Amino acid sequence: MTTLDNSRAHELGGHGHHEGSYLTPKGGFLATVWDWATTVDHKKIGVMYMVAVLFMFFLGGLAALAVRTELLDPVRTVTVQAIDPATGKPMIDADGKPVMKTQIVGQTLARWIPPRDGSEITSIDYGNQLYNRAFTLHGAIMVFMVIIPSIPASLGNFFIPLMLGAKDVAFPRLNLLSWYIYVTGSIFAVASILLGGVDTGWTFYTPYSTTTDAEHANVVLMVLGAFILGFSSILTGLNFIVTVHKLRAPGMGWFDMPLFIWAMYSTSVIQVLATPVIGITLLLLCFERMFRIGIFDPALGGDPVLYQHFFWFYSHPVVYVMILPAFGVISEIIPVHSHKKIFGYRAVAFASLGVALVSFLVWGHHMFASSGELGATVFSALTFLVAIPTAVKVFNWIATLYKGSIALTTPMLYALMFLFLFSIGGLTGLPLGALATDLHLHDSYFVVAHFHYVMMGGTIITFVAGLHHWWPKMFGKMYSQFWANVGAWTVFVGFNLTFFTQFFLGTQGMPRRYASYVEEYHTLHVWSTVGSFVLLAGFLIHLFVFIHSLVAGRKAPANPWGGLTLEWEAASPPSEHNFDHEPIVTHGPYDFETTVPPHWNAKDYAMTKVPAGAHAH
Amino acid sequence: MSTPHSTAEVFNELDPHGFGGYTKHAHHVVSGTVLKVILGILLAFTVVTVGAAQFEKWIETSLAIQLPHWVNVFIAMSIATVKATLVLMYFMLLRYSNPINTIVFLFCLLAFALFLFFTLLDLSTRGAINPIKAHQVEAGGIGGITAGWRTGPDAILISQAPVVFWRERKITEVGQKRFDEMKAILSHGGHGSTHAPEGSTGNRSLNRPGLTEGLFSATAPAAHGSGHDAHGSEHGAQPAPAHNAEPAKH
Amino acid sequence: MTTLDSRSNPLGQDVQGSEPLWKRYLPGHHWRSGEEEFDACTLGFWLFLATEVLLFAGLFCAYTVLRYKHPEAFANGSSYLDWRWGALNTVVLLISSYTMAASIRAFQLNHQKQGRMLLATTFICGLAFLLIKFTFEYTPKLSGWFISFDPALHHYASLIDKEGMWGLFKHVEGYGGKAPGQFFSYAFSEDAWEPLWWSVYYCATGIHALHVIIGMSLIAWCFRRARMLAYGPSHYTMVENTGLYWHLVDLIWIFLFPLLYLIH
Repeated sequence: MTTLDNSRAHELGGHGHHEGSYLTPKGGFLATVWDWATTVDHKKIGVMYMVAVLFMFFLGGLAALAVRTELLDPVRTVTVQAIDPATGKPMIDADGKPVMKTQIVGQTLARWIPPRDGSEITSIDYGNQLYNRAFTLHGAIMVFMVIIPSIPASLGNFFIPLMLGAKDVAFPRLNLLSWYIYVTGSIFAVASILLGGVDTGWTFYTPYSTTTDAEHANVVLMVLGAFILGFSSILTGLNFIVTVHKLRAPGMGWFDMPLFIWAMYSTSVIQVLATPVIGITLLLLCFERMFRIGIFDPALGGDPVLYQHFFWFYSHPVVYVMILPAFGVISEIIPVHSHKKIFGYRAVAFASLGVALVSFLVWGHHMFASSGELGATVFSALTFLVAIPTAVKVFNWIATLYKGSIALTTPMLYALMFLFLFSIGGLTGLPLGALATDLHLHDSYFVVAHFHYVMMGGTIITFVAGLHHWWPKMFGKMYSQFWANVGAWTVFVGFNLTFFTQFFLGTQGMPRRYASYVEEYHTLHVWSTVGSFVLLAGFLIHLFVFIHSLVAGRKAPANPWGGLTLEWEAASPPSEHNFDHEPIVTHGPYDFETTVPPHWNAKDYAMTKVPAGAHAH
Repeated sequence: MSTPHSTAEVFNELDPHGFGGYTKHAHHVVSGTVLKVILGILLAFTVVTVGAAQFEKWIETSLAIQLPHWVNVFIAMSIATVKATLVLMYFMLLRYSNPINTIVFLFCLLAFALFLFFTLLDLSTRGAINPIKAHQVEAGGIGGITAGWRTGPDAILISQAPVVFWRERKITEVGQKRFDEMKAILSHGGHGSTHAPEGSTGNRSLNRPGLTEGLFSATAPAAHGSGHDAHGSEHGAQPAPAHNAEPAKH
Repeated sequence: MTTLDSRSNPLGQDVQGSEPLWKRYLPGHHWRSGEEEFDACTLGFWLFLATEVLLFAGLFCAYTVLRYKHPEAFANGSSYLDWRWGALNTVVLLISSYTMAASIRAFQLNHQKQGRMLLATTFICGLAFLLIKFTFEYTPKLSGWFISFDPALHHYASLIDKEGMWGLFKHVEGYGGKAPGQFFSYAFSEDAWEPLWWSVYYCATGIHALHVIIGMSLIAWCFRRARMLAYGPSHYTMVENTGLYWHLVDLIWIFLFPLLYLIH
């Protein structure tokens, strides 16, 4: 791969001259802030998305820890001897018998957040409702504000134009607008939380969402927030599709594109085709709640299951909006860090499109317990189609690793963890897709564990992997591989401790969304909660590694891992206009056997080997 | 992956992406005559679709032939599809522009078709209960709902269908005789069509196997003898209990 | 000129002159040519139109399911609508679609005045559509208040009980209250599920009317820019995309009209 003026580009990247880097401040502090707030540069918008998403991840994570802490202990009503508030001693009545009273133990959230009017808690309902709010908060934030925009909006925005050799996305101002829409939607959601939260679950199923909290506007705010976030998602997807169609560098045909682009393209197709339906669904839900129009209300002739169809027509494809970008990131990391051409390029590319297509055929498997029998049977049969393209991808990644020159860098470590976790997540999806077993496992912790293995073990783990893979390119700084690896292992241990236990809980009958449980589940719940705090420790390690890298990290070379895709040809960090000259593509993105990576410098690549036969261009 | 090739082969300054002939179509100017003819056809089809609906109604009222429900939908949607295709091809220039635009639109229609098909597949067969589970179906009914604003001093909580509630209330207000007079004027009115045409049973309700027993008995229109709601009583409905209404304040 | 692109080309200042605005237009810095930018904007807009169609897909799907469940409520509810107003509105929208397409043609041929006139006609047609919808359809059905020259009024003469606004409006007793869902209070319904029909009717036509308003705003913007000579044979992306949007509004109505007005 070459630019028209290779020597100049090499000088820029290889020796770390950062004049014209997109990160160079424009004047004073306020001028810089204004510059970022009004930028149409896809790189800055990508970074802004990253910061916003990580902040929401922090909020959603707090809610998750609240949920796990509540579940540390089952809720029990016990009879204890009353304490005299005046003397502080146990109370005794006139006959000398101890005065007994009932007390609720095991409710953590209720202790942390006492009732606003200061009254004493006499019923377990109060704590249970707090728990409902905590898991709704966790689900809504993690799905709508973290996982959906995580890889596409941050890494996608930053790297799609770079990988295509373009100066920017097709519609830069629209790109900035979608960031502001994202922030607006998030503000709606946060406002809803501050006003007391929502207890409907992240799916906003009717009639929960139309009848609970009748006196509050919280549900409407949260639903409107999700509605607004949908526009952000649509505009980003639309932008990427046009960018891929119209802004590929000269010489880059469809099958010369990096697989990350293929994955992002498929993701964008889903975003554009599925998100409008959730738009109208949430709009109708708002009307339903505010004006009681009855479309989802059986008392007025409507149909609550219609809501579920509407919701899952979007929300199942959106599961692939979450996981497809992760597939794309893995398809980049594995060839680069094992320095080997990807196995079955076209199979992986078409598998991305295949997943996008199948995603529209299987939404009914979320509704096996509520849909009719024919519908459930058809959807169950179609659900197994999903296994084909995903398995094609996993097998191809493993085949790529075979006889590769594997460097156990942090991104690679995460990619290998992804393969392990995603395989567990994927395979446990099969019993859930089978109608007969699903009716047993439905709404149990087995489902919870399954989708956390896919959503978190798949997407979040890969988001972190992608951040480590591209961090040197984004900020021009290296990070401590050792501490990042420590963080990675901590996350891995914490993750499995948290969620593998939940498979057992689920098969034993622990239902999801319950604030309490019978004594038999106690041990596993304790392990799960311990795991969630180990997970927290792992992410904190990563946070400190990144902060240390920004403050005191060593300057990154232009191509620290020896990648061949176009972004490694730009400087680290890239200049305002990405490339000095429009790059021209002369080799494939994974032709490691025949090409020396751009900005080749032996001392930077101690961890990777280049085959003897490869030649520099 | 493609074999390495020289720069000159790949890069054409005038057509860097190899879009070939597509871009030259981008600025196609449609002839004014074509636009006028298309408008004429569209207006003609509007007349046809209204005429078809009137004709169907005439068959039902004059010949007392009950057309199947899908006939109306099929004819109306066929004409609308032809009209929409003309608008897409000539007004929206799909015929002349880059084919990718047409592909985008077709994929959108495919998503729409999947959405409609699978939703209907499920919701239209939900009533078919596997015999082995038939005994699990339980009787249901409507819950308490409000008529008017849900909260505030004007909230009226009712436990019957709003239609029944407001009818009873109007009858109480003006008396049965006046009610019937008003109804005669209002329902055979100036809004272009009539209700319950003579000679038609008017009942198009589908046979819904496995329908929850008693679900409709509380909400079907009361048979108050005006003769206009013959189909209501075919549900086997009893007049809804009016005393359930709790008008809070008037 | 388009709202979708970035026009931060530093060359913009160098080519000022007596040329009309559309000749001075330069594509965004990341495009290789204006042709490509136009092509990309059109593709982007078609993708946006796809999202609009799928937004209405939800309404059409709800309509289908609920009509399947309650065919009589829909047939009865539909008979309260006057197909003549619906047909008139269809004609108005079809004509406006024609004038919009013709206006694009005019700008392609640099017939500036004709183009502006046609844009204005399109805008007026949109306004007429909304006026008919609100004056003759929504208002009487919701409140029972008719505008005094409504031709339907003579039929209800015996039920007129109030006048308002110096005789401009007349109230027909018992006619109003055909509102969605729980706001329904019409006393002479014949089917238990008619409130649901009104919910579907108002959601579908209301969201469509919102799109008409958005389309009219875009046309107004185009008109303003056209007076500055911003559109011409080599650059008319904004008019083109506004036209696409306006045709989509028409397209949705082509389906809504028979589905709402012509069922029985």
